Amino acid sequence: MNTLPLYIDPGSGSYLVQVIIAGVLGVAFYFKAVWARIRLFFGKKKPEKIEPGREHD
Amino acid sequence: MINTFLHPASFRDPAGFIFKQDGKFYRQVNQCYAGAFDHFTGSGLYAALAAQQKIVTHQRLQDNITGAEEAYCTLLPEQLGTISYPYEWCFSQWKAAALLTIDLATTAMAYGMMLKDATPFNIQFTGCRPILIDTLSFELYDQSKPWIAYHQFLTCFLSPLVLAASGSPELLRLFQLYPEGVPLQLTARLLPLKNRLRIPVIMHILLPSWMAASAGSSGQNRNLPAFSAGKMKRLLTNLRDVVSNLTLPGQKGMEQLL
Repeated sequence: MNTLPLYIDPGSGSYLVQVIIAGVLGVAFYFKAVWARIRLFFGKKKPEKIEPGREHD
Repeated sequence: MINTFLHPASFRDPAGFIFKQDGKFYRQVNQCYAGAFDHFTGSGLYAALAAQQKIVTHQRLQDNITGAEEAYCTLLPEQLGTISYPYEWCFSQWKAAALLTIDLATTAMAYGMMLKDATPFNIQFTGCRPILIDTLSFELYDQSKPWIAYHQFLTCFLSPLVLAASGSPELLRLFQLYPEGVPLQLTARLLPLKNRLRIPVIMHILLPSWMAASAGSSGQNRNLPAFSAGKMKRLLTNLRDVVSNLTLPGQKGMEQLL
């Protein structure tokens, strides 16, 4: 049987894409948290949300 | 080797392979995967996934059936009744398989491992439940590295799903033409303009396709910042949200009726 040392193509540029996306998501997450604090300060609670795809687990 | 056949679809992964003997499928784990396999079973990851019915269960045998020197151990997996192929699946099966793949990666992280490939060919359905059938799909997790299967997830799961959700469910069959994954450039071209302007599509389809086109393979040698477990969790959570929110046109209305 022939074996390939690297059988998965790591995807050119995939590393950089993930670094950029993770960075963008980090910034979005930070602002979401700040926004949630502001809402909480004014007495507004975040509505409870059922996570899609987990309802039947 | 009498009555023993290597399975023609099990040839890529040097960690092991599937073979058939006397009507039963077996999986050989090779020596090169011994460390990862011991961690997979010893860390409790296998037990956790088996308890959640997210992976095909197996029995570890004492015999080296093939007699090969590189054999570490042989597994007798639970024998599946019906085998289906991704291009036969409906939209909700694709979606369930994609969500399972992300959940597998997320669970693996908690046990110090990571899913090393993300192809729908590794998923089968038992009843209406998707399960992973490739027991050797996990590698030891290096927190400084991003997800090695990210690009494969985009081309093999996200591309067909996004195309179907854009109003062309028949494009799920495109996977038959591109079993290695629908190229992101092609997905970007086929998507209607209004779908191209959506943030998840820009992030996970357009950006990677632009970067692959502009960077080529030179991106591999750049001095890039290290990844982290936090970044990985954010990426997987986002991918889960993106896939969860994909619906076929008209499906939302039907869900409300049910």
